[in-house]
Amino acid sequence: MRTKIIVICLLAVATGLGIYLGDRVGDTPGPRIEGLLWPDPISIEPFAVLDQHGNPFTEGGLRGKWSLLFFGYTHCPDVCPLTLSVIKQAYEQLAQSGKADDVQVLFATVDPERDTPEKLSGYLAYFNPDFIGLSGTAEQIQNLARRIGVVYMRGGTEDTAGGYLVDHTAAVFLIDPTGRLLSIYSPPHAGDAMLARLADIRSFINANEP
Amino acid sequence: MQMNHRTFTPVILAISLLLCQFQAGAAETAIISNLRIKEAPPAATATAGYFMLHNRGDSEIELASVSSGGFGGIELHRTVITDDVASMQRQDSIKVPAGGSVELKPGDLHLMLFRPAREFRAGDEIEFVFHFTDGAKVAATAKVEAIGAQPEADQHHSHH
Repeated sequence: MRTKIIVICLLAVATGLGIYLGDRVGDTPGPRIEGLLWPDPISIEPFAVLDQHGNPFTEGGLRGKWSLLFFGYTHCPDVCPLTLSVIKQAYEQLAQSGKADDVQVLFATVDPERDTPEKLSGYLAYFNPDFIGLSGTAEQIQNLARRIGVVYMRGGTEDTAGGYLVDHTAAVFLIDPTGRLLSIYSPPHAGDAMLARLADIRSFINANEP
Repeated sequence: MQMNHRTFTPVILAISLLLCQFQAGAAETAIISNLRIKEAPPAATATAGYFMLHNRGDSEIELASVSSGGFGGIELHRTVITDDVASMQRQDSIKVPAGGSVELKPGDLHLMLFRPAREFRAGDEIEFVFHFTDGAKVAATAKVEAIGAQPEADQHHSHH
């Protein structure tokens, strides 16, 4: 009888140990996912801006979907259309395989003075009508940028014939459905890499936060 | 030897050709290829142009400016990205060494085009004139292409 109790105790300890160790191993993923902010993702604090229809858009708009967020401006002829084009291709590839239902693309302007909601509406519709544009007052945009960690400033070089230029963070930000900033994609951007990282991070989150 | 126009003309021709060799500037040596302008989304005030500039001569050429009846203003710019922050730096000119080439491409050197004469759509053709510091003017035709047109959408070859 005593032997059985000892065996059971040993088994219990072994099981407990196994579960504990298994848990520890799960905390450190084998292959490191590039650009994943873990285990301390950045929680996005409240903000209030306007979408391209002039309706209020807050941190609540980031819930329920994976968001790809990019900051730019319509007077930018090179980096911004280029990045939006890469994101567009990635998004449409997802949509084709039915995986875009819980993914949204947001383009926030770093030039709210010239990029009104109406302007963003026409500009973004050219890329994909699903894309969401974010504008507002200078203060609202400043606040949003601060929440995400985006910097922007009027170009130091002389004004050009087309009006002032704006230097800005050109990274693409990945935000999860609970409103946490999980990854920052650095430029130059490539659609395949963007999708691969999104898929890896989704799997990781699902595995580690059931 | 009697100097009449029969002997004079070839002499003049020979001298002219000889002089032309010494003055073979960008007009002879600059080659512009793959010139394309990106279609501008509605409400966009500026769009970008890209091309390859090759110098097949044996002395440096310098592109000073570009003009076109299709745009009220054209400038040379370079996109620079440092620590994820993108900025555009206006270029006074673009130098191409003898036998070398410079590529204007997305995320790098590019033409910034303002005040279009009309709305340009993919497939349109626009005439451009490239002005060099030696006074040469070289004409080239640009094709307007959609923003998503390959290979710009895939920046894999931009990685160095």
